Amino acid sequence: MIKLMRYFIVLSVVVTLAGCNLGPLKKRGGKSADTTTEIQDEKNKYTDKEDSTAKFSSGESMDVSSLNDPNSPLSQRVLYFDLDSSQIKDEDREVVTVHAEFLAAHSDITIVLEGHADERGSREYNIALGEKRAKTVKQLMTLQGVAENQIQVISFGEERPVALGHDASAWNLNRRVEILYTGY
Amino acid sequence: MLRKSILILFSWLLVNSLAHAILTIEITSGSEGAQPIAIVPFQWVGKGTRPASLKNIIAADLQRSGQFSPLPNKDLISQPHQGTEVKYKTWRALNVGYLVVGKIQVMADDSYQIQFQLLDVFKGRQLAGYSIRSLNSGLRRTAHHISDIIYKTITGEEGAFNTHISYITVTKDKQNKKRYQLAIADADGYNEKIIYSSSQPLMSPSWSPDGTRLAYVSFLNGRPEIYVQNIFSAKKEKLVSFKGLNNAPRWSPDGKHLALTLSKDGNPEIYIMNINSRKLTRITRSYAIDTEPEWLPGGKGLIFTSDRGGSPQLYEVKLNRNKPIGRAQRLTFEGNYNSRASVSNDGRYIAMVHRTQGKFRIAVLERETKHFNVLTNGNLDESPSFAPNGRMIIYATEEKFRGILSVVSVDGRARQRLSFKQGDVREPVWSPYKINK
Amino acid sequence: MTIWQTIRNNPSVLAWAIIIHVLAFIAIGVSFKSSDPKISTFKKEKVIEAIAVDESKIQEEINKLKKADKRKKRDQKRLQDKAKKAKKDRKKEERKLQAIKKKQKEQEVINKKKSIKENKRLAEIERKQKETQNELNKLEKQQQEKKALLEKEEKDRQEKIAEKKRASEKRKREEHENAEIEKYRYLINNKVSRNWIYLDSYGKGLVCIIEIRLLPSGDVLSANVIQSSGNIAFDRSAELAAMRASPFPVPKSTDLFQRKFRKMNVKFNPTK
Repeated sequence: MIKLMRYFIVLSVVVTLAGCNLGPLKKRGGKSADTTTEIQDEKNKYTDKEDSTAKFSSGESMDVSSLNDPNSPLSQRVLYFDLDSSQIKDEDREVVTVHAEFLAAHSDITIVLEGHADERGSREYNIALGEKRAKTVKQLMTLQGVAENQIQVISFGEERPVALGHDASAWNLNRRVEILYTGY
Repeated sequence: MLRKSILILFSWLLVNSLAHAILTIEITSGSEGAQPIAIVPFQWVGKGTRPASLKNIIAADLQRSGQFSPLPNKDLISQPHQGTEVKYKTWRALNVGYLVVGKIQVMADDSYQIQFQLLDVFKGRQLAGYSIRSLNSGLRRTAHHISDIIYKTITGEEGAFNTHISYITVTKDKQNKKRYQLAIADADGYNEKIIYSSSQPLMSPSWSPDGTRLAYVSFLNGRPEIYVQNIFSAKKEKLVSFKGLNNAPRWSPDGKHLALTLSKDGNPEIYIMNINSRKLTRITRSYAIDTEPEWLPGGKGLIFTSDRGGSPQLYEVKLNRNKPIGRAQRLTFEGNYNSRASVSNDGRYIAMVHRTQGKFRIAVLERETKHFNVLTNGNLDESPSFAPNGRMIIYATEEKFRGILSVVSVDGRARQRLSFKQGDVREPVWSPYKINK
Repeated sequence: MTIWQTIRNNPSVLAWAIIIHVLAFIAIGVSFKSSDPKISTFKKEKVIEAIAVDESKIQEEINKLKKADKRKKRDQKRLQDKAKKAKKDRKKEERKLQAIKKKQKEQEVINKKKSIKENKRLAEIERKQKETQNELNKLEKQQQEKKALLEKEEKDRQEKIAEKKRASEKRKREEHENAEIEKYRYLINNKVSRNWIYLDSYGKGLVCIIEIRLLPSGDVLSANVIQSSGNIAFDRSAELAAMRASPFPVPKSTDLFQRKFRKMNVKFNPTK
């Protein structure tokens, strides 16, 4: 059963990717090489592990329990951003979509989008930048049917880094939006 | 009338011709540098252990201003303690223009009587001389006071040594959990007092113009809200808590308003709030980030950070009775990152965070000349804040990945790191001149 | 009717008169001869004697008188003739005289004329002489002036040469002095500049003037701000620079020192 679901997920990823390439929010470019590789690695994780059997599925079909499933695509809850940017990377759109579809299907479930920035630049601007990143994600989700009141946005700017280093790899990890499911 | 004007003309000609008769030599260059000053360690008169060295405190103060270059102790040829003991000729040989001598007398009640004299070495005369009574605990304060007197006597400007700073420190508690603390200290970083401590992030302290209160951002409730706290009574209240961001409070020069950033209407915008009535006036309207407002002298306008042009830059909006006039004008054009303005009290300079080749540094824009000067050389310098005399800027920097504070002179010539025993220190803000208790 | 006119109208009257007079004179003359020294007494005696004269003698006397009268008449006639002749002659003479007079008068007129002419001529001559004299004077004066001018020119020339010489000496002196001034100006500038420590951050466009008083040794006696920049730190840095630069390099010439270096101004103007 789980194996089958994985197939569905892979398929949905592919479909979402395609859809997003045609979608209204098109990325302007300017990728950070590090981040891109990292994300692609994660994407490859899914694709490498799974055979792409043609079966259709989406987040809608997922159960609430998948929130606690570390193998669920919903377990991917961090989106990374380029320097000075609040644009969602192409490869992250599928993640947003999975969550959006899940939330649209479970209107009783709410999330907090927590925006963050790296330590560089002024703190207040980074708070604003974190909020802008979170709001960009929220916007994409609401476009996909999630209700406004299901999503709360908050920014911590550079105040809560996940990576404590002071180099490019730490900064890449800290420029992020975290998707936090309330109560899970 | 005619006769008078002729008389004036003649006297002018006379004066002119006399003036021409006097040899005038024009000096067009010298050496850029701070004035050498010798400060002799103060004489200790009385029993008991000698407290902190006044000489060291004063020397550090003057050094930090960038205007003075105190002589190291080893270069002091003699150690007079009052003007009458000074052999000016020998000091002249050191080419030092000013000499400070003094003594500390221990009084019966354990207070100190401090005498000091500032002497003009080349003219061989006293420029200033004071006798100051100081409490045991107030000795450092007295030293800063002496620094201010010396500074004012020689430069004609107010010193800002006997002032305070506020900042945020982050330490780890016994459970290795982060503690965010709002601190106040002397302007040289000594006499630190923690006035608020929280497990949640604290940000953006701002002094009220009378120096009695601080506004700041706390994440106590899981999101940024603005609080105001009396620094003496520690009484605090939540002032602003709208949906979204409640950030970047800056007290107005008249003390009655706060400029702040709210995102309640969508994206971060600048507002002015009347502290008494809590009435809000929206200042900016854009789809971009507008934040980090800073008041211009007299409340005549706000400078803020906005990415409306694609990258964060400083903009200015003029105000009339706290209402915006016209469109905001962009102020910065150097590089693609300029943010977090601090304006000197006279409005002459705007300090900011400036990114150059991937490094964040403190830069200063002189408004009249448009001269742009990068003052620091760190990797992550931020949160500049002007001293009330506009001559020094305190800022946050890092040393071995630990946040510390430094002071840089407005011309970038002198930089002095302030010492803090522990923790990550950030977001310093310089107090106004007076703290009215 | 004047006597002359009577005479001219009746020349015989004249003759008569002359005769009577002559006779009278003779008679008086005789009487006088006879009575010599004592005139008064004689007269008295004569009167008495006359009374004693007889008739015969009177007769005789009358005869004598008659004869004398006849003679007289003759004489008279002769005299008359003579008078006539004389008259004639006189007339002739008179005419002659008149002619002469006339001639004289004419001559006089001529002479007068002649003299006027002469005078004129003389005046002319005199004038001419004067003119000549003037001319001469003028010439002389001119010559003198010319001479004076030449002398003056010469004098001027000499003076000019002297002046030039003096000027060139003065210029040389001045040049030397200026060179000295420039030299020490440079040295002072250099020394003060080296001793001037200031900061750009004091402010833009600051200028101040310090009045310096020096001892002949070059030691700075005083350095005071006489024109402030408005910035105390800047003014002080300038004052200090001057004090630090003591002693100033100064020329050895006490005269030049006194005139130019004893008191001077140092302008601090870093904007240039």
